[in-house]
Amino acid sequence: MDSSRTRFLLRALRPNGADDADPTFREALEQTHADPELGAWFAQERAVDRAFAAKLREVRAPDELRAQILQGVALSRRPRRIAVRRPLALASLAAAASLALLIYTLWPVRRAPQLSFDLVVTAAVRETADFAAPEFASDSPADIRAWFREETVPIPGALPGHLADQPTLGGSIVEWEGVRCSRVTFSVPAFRAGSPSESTPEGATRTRSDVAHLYTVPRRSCSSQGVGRQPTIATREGATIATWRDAENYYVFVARVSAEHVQALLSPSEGLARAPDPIASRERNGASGPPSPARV
Amino acid sequence: MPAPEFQHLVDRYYEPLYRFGYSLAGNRDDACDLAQQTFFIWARQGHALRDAAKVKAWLFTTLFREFLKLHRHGKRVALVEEPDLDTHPGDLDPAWIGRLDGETALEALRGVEEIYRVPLTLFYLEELSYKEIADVLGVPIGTVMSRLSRGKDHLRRILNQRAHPTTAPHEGAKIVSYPRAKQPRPHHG
Repeated sequence: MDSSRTRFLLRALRPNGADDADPTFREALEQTHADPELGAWFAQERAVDRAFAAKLREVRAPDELRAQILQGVALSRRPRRIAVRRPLALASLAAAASLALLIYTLWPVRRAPQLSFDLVVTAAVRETADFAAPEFASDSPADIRAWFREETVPIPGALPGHLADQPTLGGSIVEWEGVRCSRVTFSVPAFRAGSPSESTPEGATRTRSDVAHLYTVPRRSCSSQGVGRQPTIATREGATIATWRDAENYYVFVARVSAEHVQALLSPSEGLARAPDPIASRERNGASGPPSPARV
Repeated sequence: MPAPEFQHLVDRYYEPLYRFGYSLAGNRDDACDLAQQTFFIWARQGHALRDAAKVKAWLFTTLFREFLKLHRHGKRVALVEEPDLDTHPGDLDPAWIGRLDGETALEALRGVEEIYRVPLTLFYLEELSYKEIADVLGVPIGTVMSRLSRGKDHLRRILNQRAHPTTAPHEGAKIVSYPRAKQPRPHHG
């Protein structure tokens, strides 16, 4: 191999030595040891290359680039600045964004469901198997509502039957799959008699039978089919569950009493012992006559 | 957040890719865009790459293609190799190079004609072998070696001009202007 050919090959050797074992260069490298002039040339070549490669390594990427890459990929969207430079891409992006906005605006119920309603029911039943003291203990429905408002969790709307008239024990916040929901705990006097919870051990803080819970789940964060505006009653795992919805929320009412007890509580025509709450009554604008939906 | 494997890939290659993009595009913003776009494409399509050993070459190839798509849109740039320059580019003192800062070195590299600059940048980044550079560019191995050799000559002439600004260029040698200043954009309205 003549000297010019050898030099030509050696110029393709990376300065960090990563290619030194490549058979393509073996003969050329051997010649650098045998030919002092070639050896000197190669040493100078490598020194210059190494110095220049080291300089390139000094060029640092902006501090935020790494985070931008990870964030951009996590969001699974194209980097904004690239799209902006392409008129066609920009137009497509604008059209897609407009369509998404339209769907988002006109179809709010089904946008981005994060929580399965069935999961809510299952979790609610299991959570209420044992009595847990409310986070915010209060017998004032108005105070509970104010606390929910402060905590930016859903506030129950109009409630069916006599539910709004029942004494409250307090409110709690529950979070499922990242969705914050509210829970109102009631004490329902009518549930005490003839309920399955008569076997509750003596001395318990409160018998399970008279305690009932109402979970309020924002509809925008929950997917569900078949939940109507009127309460539907079912039993599961020893609990009686009633579910319904209004414009804003889904509701899950859970009690450890018979379905008939719950039916009586939630039906406007059924007679039920009440413990009228003055605040709730005021919020119903002093309604009299047949029970109408009222707020907690 | 992306999977740990992806984060590892980003940690390992985002800086070399940024430097490659910077060398191609000549400014930081475009370099960032190119690096981001490359990883974005990887996140969408990388699973199709069966040979893990080719990830690195895939990333550099993708960035180069994205650069071509972005910067060649609407204009044709002829990549024609220049004839051999007979003149010797002159010796360079590695210690003098060591006194440069990284941005100045990159600016000198930017002065090299693009057809030589692309393989030369990949060469100095030291991430890819000449064979892998040939894959990135889609040219034969011999062509890569030829472009590396000529590119080095170009770069050294530029650096020598910087080191000895009063020295007249060798007759017959093409001296690429250095530094390559950006022309200010005219303001309208």
